Amino acid sequence: MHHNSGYVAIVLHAHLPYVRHPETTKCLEELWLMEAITETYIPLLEMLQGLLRDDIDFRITMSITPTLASMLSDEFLQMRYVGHVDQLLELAEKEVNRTRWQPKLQAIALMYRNQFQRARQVFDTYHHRLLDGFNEVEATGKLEIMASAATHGYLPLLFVDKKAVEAQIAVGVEAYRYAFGKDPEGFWLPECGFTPGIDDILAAHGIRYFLTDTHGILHAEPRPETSVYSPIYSAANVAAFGRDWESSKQVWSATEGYPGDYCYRDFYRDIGFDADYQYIKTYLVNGIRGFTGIKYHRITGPSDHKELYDPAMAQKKAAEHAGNFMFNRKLQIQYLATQMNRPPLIVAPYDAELFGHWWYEGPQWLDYLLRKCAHDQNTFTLITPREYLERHPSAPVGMPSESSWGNGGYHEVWLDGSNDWIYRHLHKAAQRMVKMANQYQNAQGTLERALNQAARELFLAQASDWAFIMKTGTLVEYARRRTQDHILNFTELFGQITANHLDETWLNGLEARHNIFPWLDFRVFAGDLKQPATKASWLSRAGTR
Amino acid sequence: MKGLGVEAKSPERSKVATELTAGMETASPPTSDLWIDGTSEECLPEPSTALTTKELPRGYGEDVVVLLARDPTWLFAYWEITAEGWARVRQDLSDGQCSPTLRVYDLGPQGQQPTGFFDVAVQPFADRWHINTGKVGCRFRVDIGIRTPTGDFRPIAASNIIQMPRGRMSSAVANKWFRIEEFWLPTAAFPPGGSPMGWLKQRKAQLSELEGYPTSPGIFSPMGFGSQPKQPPQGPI
Repeated sequence: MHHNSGYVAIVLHAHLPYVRHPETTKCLEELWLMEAITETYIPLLEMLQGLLRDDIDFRITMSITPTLASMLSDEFLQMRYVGHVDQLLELAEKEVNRTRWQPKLQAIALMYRNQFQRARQVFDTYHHRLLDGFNEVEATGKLEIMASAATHGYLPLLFVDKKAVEAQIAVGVEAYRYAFGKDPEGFWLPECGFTPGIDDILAAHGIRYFLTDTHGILHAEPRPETSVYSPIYSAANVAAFGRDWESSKQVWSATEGYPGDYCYRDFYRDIGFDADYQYIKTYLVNGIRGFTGIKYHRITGPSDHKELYDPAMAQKKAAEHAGNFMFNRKLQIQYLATQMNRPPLIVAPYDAELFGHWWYEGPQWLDYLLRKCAHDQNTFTLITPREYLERHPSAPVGMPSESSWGNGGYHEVWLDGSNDWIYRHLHKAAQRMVKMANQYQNAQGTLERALNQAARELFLAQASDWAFIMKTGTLVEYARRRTQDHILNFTELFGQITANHLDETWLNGLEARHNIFPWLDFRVFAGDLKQPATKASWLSRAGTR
Repeated sequence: MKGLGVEAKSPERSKVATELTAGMETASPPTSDLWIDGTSEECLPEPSTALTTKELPRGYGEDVVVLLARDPTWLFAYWEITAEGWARVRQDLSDGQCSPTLRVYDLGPQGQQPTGFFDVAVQPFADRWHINTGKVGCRFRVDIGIRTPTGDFRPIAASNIIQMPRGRMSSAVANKWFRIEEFWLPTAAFPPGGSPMGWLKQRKAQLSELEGYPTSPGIFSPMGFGSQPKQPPQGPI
């Protein structure tokens, strides 16, 4: 029997694009945030708090991107959420009443009412600042929070102008300091998009590690003998951890993945589509049929026929799947430990929003998994990447290969016929921003504000989400208009700044609407990094290799 | 954002009455007006925010071509040609005699100087193009220009240099004590709810098909597969 022969690092990437529309009373796209708060962020936070309460020895790593952190900290969106969850509660209450003659349905309605009540309670407990909750867990050392790029820019395709990538990373690091009150050590590359050279920039900001997809490590130069079961150090001495393929597939795979189990709740069947229109329309955005979050069916099978959801059955399945996941990691580690001269590490990253939002039982599965790993096995230890580097500072040296975790493993998701037109404008705007940043170093007052807003508009245009949405073919119009809107605002600001003819009223409105990073200093595009961290401090720790 | 993409799919609405709606009807008090058919009032989706309807500029008034790598074999180029740039190379020719062309220079795996090139004829009003290079791991740059009826190429603008990903494992390896070719195998984790013995049998069959490849077959360790390599398969995962 192997005893603690290796490690498993579970990583959740929490991200949503910056969607904030005070100009409308109710906005379909803001629902992304509202739903994710109710279904993912609060359940995860409750799960983590439960583990702490029960003194479970767990480790988990999360990236909380600057756009998400900004939205979670935004008072306007916090108030929107209060309104949203109150309305959900009202609907759940109506559902409980409406289903009173149908005990099986009513049990599900009660489950939702309970969930929404708890969501409201947790939101209030943290005075609407959910980040405080995650910070609280992080302080115990059992949760590690990674930084990410400013607005989730897809860095390999912005790299034509290195300054654009530097600014995404510099502002991402700065946003982390604002949100979490310390320097980040890990950095989530948006979509795991890596190209050699990014590691240099990360190193300049004191970043110790990042993650790549499996082939980012397998195709490294030279090829590491430890596969993805150990990090490698790039030329800039930043550690790169590779995604484990087997554990990814178990959760992600559309055909074999856990979330597709027939016992689990069906995502698509929602009373927003099924209920009578007059009854439900108050709870729809602008009266348009859509998701409400109340869903009464389980996946049941591949056809349209759906059975009622059975929470107890689903919970049992989540426990079974957690056991299965743990069992497979044990087998992997037992084998790998015989093949390596160091304890193998399995890195399993997932989108956080998969848990709870799409896979309703995801947080339960994770809860079971973390508890079982602590109590039901002694083959591996749960760990965070930072902790791993502290325990095992030596690693093979190699440059990870250009890669992403998108379909095809490279950039085709963000660069194909549906979205390739954006790069001409993103690159031109970045080039102009760099030029302005160098030219107006001493700007003050309204000019400085205009330059800062230009930087904001550029960042918002660079979000990888817009290209992704264009590629997936749904809500394309919104993504296209967001890209255009920010580029046009940038272009207008560029024109006003270079012509020395600022429209302050318009600028005021723009600042109020697109208010991300209120502390932003446009000079970041001139490469004037605020105290770039030295590599020396952590290099010395890795110096034994 | 993967979750978002999944979420964004339109749900299939069931065509038949379901337990849910049946349950709703049964549960509703007889006097309720909840189920009045309001379908005719349903709103059609429309953009829910006050975003711009203005279009982006067609160009920025410069002769430029920029190259990006999309994957190990495909390049993407976008460009802009001004009227002045066009006139400069067109000279005595009519527009009809000038074919806009991308000249793709192959710089080899590490080079700065072209080792060869090929031309891609692009449509007259195109401003971007996806190019299959048929090679991996090389460096490329492109010129945008015109080809004349006599076959001359007259460049208007030159691009940046792009290094394509190798798309396969490096031949350089520090040492041999751990082999990673397992990733080329059709491996899969032990499926939930299945029989471990059935799974082992299936894995054994999979691996026997690949006899001769070096393997470190993960969960299959007791079976002890692994022998000398023939040639590892190449290509993206």
